[in-house]
Amino acid sequence: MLKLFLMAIAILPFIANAQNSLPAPTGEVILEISGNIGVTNGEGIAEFDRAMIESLEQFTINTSNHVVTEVASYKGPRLHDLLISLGAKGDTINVIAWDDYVAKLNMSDMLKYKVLLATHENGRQMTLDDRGPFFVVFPFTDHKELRKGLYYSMSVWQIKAIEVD
Amino acid sequence: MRRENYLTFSVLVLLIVFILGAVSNAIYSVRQIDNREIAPYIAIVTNNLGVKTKLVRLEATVKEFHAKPTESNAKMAQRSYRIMSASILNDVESELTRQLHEIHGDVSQLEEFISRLKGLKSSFGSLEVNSSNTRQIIRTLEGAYRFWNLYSGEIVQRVQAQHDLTLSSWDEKHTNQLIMLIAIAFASIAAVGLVFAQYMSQVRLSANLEQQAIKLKRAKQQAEESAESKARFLANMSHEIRTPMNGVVGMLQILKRSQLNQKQIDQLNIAINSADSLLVLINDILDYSKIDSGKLNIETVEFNIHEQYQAVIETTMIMIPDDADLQLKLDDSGLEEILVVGDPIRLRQIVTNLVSNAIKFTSSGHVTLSASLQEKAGNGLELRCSVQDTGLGIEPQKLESLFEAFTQADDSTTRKFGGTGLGLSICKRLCELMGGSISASSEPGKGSCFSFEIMLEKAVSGTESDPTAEHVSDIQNDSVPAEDSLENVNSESGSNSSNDGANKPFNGQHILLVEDNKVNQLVAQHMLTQLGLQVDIRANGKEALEALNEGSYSLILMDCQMPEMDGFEATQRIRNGEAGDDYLSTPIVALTANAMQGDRERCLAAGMDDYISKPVEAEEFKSTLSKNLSSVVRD
Repeated sequence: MLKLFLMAIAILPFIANAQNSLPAPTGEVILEISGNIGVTNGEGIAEFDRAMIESLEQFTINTSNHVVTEVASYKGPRLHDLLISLGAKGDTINVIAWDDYVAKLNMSDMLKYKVLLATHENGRQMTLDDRGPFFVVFPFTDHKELRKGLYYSMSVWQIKAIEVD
Repeated sequence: MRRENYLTFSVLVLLIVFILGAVSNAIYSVRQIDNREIAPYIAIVTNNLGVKTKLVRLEATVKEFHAKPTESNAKMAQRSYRIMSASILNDVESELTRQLHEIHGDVSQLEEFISRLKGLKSSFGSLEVNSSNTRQIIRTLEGAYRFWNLYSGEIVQRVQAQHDLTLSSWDEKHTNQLIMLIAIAFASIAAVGLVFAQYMSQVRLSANLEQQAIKLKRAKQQAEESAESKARFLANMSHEIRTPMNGVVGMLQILKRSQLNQKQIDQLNIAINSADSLLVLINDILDYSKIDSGKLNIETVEFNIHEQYQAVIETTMIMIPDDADLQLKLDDSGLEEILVVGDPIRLRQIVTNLVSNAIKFTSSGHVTLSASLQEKAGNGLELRCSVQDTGLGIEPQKLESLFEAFTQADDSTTRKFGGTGLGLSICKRLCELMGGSISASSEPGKGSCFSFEIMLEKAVSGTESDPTAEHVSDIQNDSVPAEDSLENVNSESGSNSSNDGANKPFNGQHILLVEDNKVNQLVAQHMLTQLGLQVDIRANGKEALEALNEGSYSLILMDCQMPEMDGFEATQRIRNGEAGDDYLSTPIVALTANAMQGDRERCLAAGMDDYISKPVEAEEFKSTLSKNLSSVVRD
């Protein structure tokens, strides 16, 4: 028992270290996450290049939304997963777009609806010229209750940065 | 329905119709609000403001580059165009926005703005450090800004107006719904109130009804009690009448045997007929009251239907006037050898009644009595019987009430044909008591048919050696039409012969009559003497025992009800040897005033051999005595 306890204490720093460290981006930084997070690779900030984003587990949501009428296939990491992996503590986040648009999202909504931080639309990588590099995607098609102005306003496109409250 | 009930009902229906109407109206208006296009005021304003900010920010980067035309500023301006134009186009090119503008704005103006924005792409693409078109770009952007400002301002205003309209419409609908709701509430309260009032009046009504039912029940009880006491009175009276009638009949018969002239004989015959009719009436009334009070039991003894019916035919035959062209037929082929178990006396009563009725109402033609047996489950037999005549017939409307007590086909019938009107009612009750029913059909002027069926059982022995059958056949063999008998007696008394062997079959035999009633003593003594018997009379059982110990008798006639020692006790003592061993098996015949069910059993149980019911008739005396004395005669 004591042995086990000692072993746990010995291992703990490694785990903590593994948690706190995020490899530095090698390519162009396309996303900055700051605020109440435990894992960083800069001064209170977690920066991501495309390779780092693509190394995260990818998911798909097929849905239409307020600007895309036809059902499209969106791909990217889950927003909630990403934030948890960064040790985010808050209940809400602010999603900031390149055009300075800001929307507040609930962690619980993100978890419940498995909200994507989508990078691809119908297999094509999104860019600044449409809704890229990141687009918050809610499953509107599968969840009627989401089809409201509030959730449409949370569907931020051209995401530049995220601040965890 | 009473008038106020009708009114209440109508009001209730109106209220319900109103409530239904109001509810459907409310539902419709709610659905209308639901379906109404909610003015997208906030979305439009956000859109409008968003586009304007983005244009201003884009213009600022271009102005920055214009002021400081460096490479990085050029890149900045180009990147800003990419971001802002993509963002604006995401908004304004979406289906949702297009729809909004179709309703509240002008899609061609929207497209004009989109093309102006897109048109800047090449200008931004060719933006370089020494570009000369920055002023042009700035002017175009400012133009696009003004264009959008004017256009979207107009839309916002229109939407605002529409929004106000929607709001006031909602207001109106809400007020309308509120009024409807209040109306529904009041109507519902009124309806519930009305129903409650109806319910209360119903409760009052049923309470009244209950009280009335109690009163009625009490009245019914009283009526029944009084009816019962009347029936009891009737039964008692009939019984009491029978005893003196016994005397009257007996004395008349004694009188008939004396020497009379023709006028006196005629008068006497009228008196005897009247007395007989009176006895029939009394018997009817007694039977009816017994049935009515449930005191009449049906016997179960073995008998032969054919013999019973033969007897009925013989006794009713005398009713047919000599000059009438009327045939009395019996059709019961197949029943001659069959023994059944049932009540022969009551069956005979029914058939006699039906046949004598038929004879009464048929002046010519025939009266046919037919019978057949059908096997039923187990040991059961169903006797189907009908009496068909060619007489007056009965009106159809009178057929129904025919079997009800105290009714006859016609009141005039009573005057013409007599009768209590109880006969058919008694028949019906008897049939029912024997597990059957009776019905009648008729064609006025052509005749009637009375049919009945009763349930009997197969006899266990199934042979002709049955004692009852013998008894019945004895009676039958000995039974002679009363007219003949009376004539015989008349001729006998007329010739004044006292020792004619043929008319005095029991010549010289000694019998003991035990009877307390003086009149009955006299009547019986006379009849027995006429039959050639020597009679000693004692007034009760005690005296009888003494007489038996002193004298020698071949038969004892024993009254049942007597003072000091009744017939039952006396018989038991005789059978126990108290009168000596000589009398252990001497025939004892009971004389019983009330031929009630059970008396016969009681008599036989006490050790008696037979019984005769009072008032005693000469013929019955003769047949019963011949049966019980025959062996003695042969000795």
